[in-house]
Amino acid sequence: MVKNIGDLMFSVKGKIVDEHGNPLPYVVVMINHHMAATNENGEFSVTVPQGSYNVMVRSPKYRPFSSRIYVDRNVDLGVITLHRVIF
Amino acid sequence: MVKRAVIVAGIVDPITMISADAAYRVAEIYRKHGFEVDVISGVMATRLPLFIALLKPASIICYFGHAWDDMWMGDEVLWGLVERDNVDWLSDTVSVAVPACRSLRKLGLWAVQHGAVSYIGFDEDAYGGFPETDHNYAEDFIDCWVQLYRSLAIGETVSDAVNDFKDRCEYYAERYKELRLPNSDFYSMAMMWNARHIDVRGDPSARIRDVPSAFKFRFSGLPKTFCPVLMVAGVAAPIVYDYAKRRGWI
Repeated sequence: MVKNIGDLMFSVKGKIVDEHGNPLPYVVVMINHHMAATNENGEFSVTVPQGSYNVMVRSPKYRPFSSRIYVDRNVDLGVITLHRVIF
Repeated sequence: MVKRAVIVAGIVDPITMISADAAYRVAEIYRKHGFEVDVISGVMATRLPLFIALLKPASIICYFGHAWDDMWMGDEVLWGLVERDNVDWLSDTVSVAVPACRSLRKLGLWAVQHGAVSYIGFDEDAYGGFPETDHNYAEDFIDCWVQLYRSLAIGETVSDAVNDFKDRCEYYAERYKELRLPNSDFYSMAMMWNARHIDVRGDPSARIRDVPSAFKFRFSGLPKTFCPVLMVAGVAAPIVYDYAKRRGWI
């Protein structure tokens, strides 16, 4: 039996790096309408209810990343590498 | 008199692999239009091969790859492929740095001051595209870049070619807005950005012209050009000397 709403909330976390493995701070991560930004170490964490989500990572000068995930437990997306999209 | 194109494509990361693809297509177009074409790509996109290629004058020099305000980077490690000390290698040519970031800010200006007929480049970062799952954006960006070079190849003026490029970018930007795909808003912005930030230094009414097929030696930039050769020779000389001594040759 569900005791409170917190029981149904899960974290989605990950780390954003560039192609050289350097962490990318202040990158916007959108999980449907839930939004977060990466910290100085390129890490982010968003708390969402159970469900299906589009993960979108956006940063100027880097290739956009998008992926579809299903969340029914805490999810670690691991390291997401963004490639430069400028010359 | 001949028409001659020197095409340089640095390849150092995924985005420059896409621009190099465009460079090879541009080379084909120029060959079909009767140009003599030299392609310098990948690890060869360094000073010495470019120096050798420019011993014969070029009508147009096309650069694809990473750049900064004051240099084309190519695949050079220690310094730029073209920078202030050898910018006069671009003299008497139409020089085009597309796609390449920011080179119009300084290098384009220096090129024209040192005799380039005109210089097309970006005054800000230049965006490229990747093949995404929702759409192959790389193909569209390549189409825009190739359009610019094609317009020059058929004899359009520099400013008309730039306008053709802008029109192509704006066409794709509008199309992406209608597509409403996951990444289309980002790439629509990137296309519009490219259209807004390309520009010309020098003569906007210039066209690609014939050049004499004569030998032209350039004295500028020689220390950095031949430094790697001297470094290799410096390392190799004692080894060769030692080998020759053990063999009893000397």
